[in-house]
Amino acid sequence: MRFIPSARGIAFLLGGVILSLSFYSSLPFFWLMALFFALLPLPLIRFSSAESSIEVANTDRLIIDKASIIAKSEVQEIIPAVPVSREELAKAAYLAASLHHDQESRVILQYVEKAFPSLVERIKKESLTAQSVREGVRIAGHLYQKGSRSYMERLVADTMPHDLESADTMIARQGSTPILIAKDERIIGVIAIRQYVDAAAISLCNHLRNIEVKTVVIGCDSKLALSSIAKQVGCDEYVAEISRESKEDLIENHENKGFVVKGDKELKSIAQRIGEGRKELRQEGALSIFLLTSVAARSILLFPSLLIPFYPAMKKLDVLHLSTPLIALSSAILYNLLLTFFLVPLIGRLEARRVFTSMAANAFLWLTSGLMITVIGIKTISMLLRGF
Amino acid sequence: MLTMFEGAQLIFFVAILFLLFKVMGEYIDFILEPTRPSPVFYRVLRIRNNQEQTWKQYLGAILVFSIISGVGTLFLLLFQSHLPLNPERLPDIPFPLAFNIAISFLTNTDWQAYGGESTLSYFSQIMALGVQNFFSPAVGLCAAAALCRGLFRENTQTLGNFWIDLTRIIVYLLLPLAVIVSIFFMQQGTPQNFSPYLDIQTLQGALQKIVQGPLASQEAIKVLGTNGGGFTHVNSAHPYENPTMGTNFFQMMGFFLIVLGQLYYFGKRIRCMKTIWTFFFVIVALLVFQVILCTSVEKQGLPFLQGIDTSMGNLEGKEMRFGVFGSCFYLIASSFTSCGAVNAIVSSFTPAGKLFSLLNIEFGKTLFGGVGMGVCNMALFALLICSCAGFLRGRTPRYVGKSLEFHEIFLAFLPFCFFYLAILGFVAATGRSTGLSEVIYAYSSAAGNNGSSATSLPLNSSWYNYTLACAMLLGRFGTLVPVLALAGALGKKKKISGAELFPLKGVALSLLLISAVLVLGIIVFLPSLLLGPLLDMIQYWGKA
Repeated sequence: MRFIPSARGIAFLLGGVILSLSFYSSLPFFWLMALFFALLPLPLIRFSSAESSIEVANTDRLIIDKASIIAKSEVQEIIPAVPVSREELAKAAYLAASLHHDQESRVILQYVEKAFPSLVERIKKESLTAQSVREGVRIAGHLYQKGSRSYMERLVADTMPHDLESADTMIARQGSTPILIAKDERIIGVIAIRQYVDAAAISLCNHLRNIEVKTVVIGCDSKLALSSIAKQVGCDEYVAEISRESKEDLIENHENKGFVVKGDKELKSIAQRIGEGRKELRQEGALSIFLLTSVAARSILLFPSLLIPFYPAMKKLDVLHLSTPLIALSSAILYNLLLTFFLVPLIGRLEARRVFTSMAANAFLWLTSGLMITVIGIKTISMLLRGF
Repeated sequence: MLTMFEGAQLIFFVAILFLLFKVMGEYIDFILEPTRPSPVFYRVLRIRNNQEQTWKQYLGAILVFSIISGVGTLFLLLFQSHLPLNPERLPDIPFPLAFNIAISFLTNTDWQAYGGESTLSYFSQIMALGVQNFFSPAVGLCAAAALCRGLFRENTQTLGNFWIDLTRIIVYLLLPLAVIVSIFFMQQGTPQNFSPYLDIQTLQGALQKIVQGPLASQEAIKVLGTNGGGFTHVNSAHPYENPTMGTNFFQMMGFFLIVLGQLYYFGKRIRCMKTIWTFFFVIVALLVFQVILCTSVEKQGLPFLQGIDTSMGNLEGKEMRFGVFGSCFYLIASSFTSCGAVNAIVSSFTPAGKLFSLLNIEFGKTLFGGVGMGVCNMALFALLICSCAGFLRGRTPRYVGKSLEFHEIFLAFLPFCFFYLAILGFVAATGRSTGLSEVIYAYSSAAGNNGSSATSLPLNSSWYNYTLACAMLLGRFGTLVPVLALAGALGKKKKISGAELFPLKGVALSLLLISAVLVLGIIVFLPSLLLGPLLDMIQYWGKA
């Protein structure tokens, strides 16, 4: 069960107020009951079970794994270091990727199978026993490795060949991901992988920004490469060059701080749930402000006109001239019903559109409209009733 | 409207408030959040500086202290004829009245159903009431400090130590200020002695008793602690309690001294100075607005009086030394700070003038208030505004960086419920349809811990003595207990990183604040106000 805290408290208070009023006023009890139904904010007694979407609504930052927003990636080109041939580089890359199942490795395998079919056949015939290492493979006494530049610089004793260094930067600047290939502690070439961002992810990130959720893209790529991806997809921040272990840590860390981290298809559903949750909370706020103001406005309009038969001087405070107490009371009850069944859904729909972006402006909108609509509504209904 | 001189007084007053706001705030902050070593008497009493209390312990300490001091006051009053310093040989006070007095001074209400000079011995004035005049604001300020700590600390179980806070507030804040102010009052002509009342033969040959006693010291703490319980029956209208225009002005300033200081301290600690400045400006603007309006209404005079020159306004029940403006200004300032001291008879104000004071008590529960409880109420009200308007941001409500759940919002709403219940419930139970405004004023004043009265009702009867005491207890402890529970609940929470502390500020906050005060006040109090004071007002003007 959900709760509009202060507003529902008012509903209970109102009961107490009217009960105590009955003790010292000259109003008959039946009238006081009618008064209660004329004033009570009926729509506040509502049950809802959408707890989960409200928890999600508080999310201010979403962490997105880079892999989940890449629609397609392909090898753009391979650049060997000076003494190494293209075929040799392709073989090393194929072997390094052969035992891994991530997206990068798949792309490399596909490329080599397509570009060097004879090479692949030869490798398959050899059928050597391979042993998987963290980012590579140990096979026939050789160690083949692949990875980003910062990762390689940590693993491999050899410094980066000069010609590859400029190629690496150039690839990253073009928005592609450079992958370095090393054979036995020596970097022998670089492979440029071109990544295409999912069009759906772009619109999702746009949507998230509109509902004030920051997006952070994380990946093991270099800063340059990831920043260009973040720019393409429209993410606000990025955390680059993270290894597999540090990625786990990062996600866990952020989860502890209350950030939601999801990948793949869940991104879409979570964005939707955040939007829904926020909309629902905004509607709740708009409704409680509108209803509270409306109750206050109704009591200003109603009480003086009810007391006229007992104290004729009250005419001065009967702002709307609601003729008889009976008409005043019945028009307020009718207005309350109208409010419950017609105005409340309308307010919900308006607030879903979000009339103003600033919270204070919205609060004033619902304050003033709560007052104005109540005054106009009750006056109109009372005039109609008098016509009958 | 105001004359030039009156306008100048008002402007001067506001300017001084503006200056005092920061000075007093920094001083209270310096006292309550110290890093200095503990003074000698802590070591004697074996109070350790680092011995912090959880909210339950803190509340327990407050309750134990209140019960002991309340019972002590009660016994001093019950047996005053056997105690020293009673030159007028005043008799013991009957139980219902003694109970009412004890509760009223315990809760910082200082409701007076008795004439001070004809009921209480000097010993009772000093040891029973005078001591409570120090204790009750100090306890309130302790609760405010605990709430403040609950808000600005994170992941904590403890809220400070009540005994340390209490001694610090009394020794460093109330005592020094009270000594300075009483010396000022003595210089201005207020007596400070233990001699018997003087018998004077007037020029017409009648005998008159002239009050003597330790007035200056009582007067100082009455003003500073927003107590408002006067030494004499007529309170600050008495020439000894309020001898000059200077003391009159100083008394009004005294109401605000600690009330504003605690607000600044609160804002500084929770790091929401912008919000607190907005509160300050709203309060000052409302004060000025009300003083001008109330004075204009009172200056119109009494429409019923035929053939009498009313050009000086409604002077019934007002001290000629202060005039219409001085009386109205004092009444508004005193009801604003829930002090309850008066320098004119409230029941002699016009219905509209009286209404200002009543509205300040009833609606003003949310905005201003006395030492300690005032800032607690403002914090609670700000929390309720956040919880309602906060939804419009599309997030669940937050307050000073902490997320609010049902438990906290419920605790913040509870004091208001107790307050409304105490007023409307007891008014209904009294069952009078005549003199309703007076009954409403009496119970509002008691539940709001204000203490001024606008009534000719038989207040010193068992019914009023007991029910008003209950209303005072509900008003005071109905706020104090939830406030400490809230402080405990919020203290355990972590601040949400990156969340803004208070979602509103500036003009938007002040407009929302005023409209929230009005909406809540109208929903709860309009029916009773219509049948009481508003009806008086319309009929009063209707006949003119």
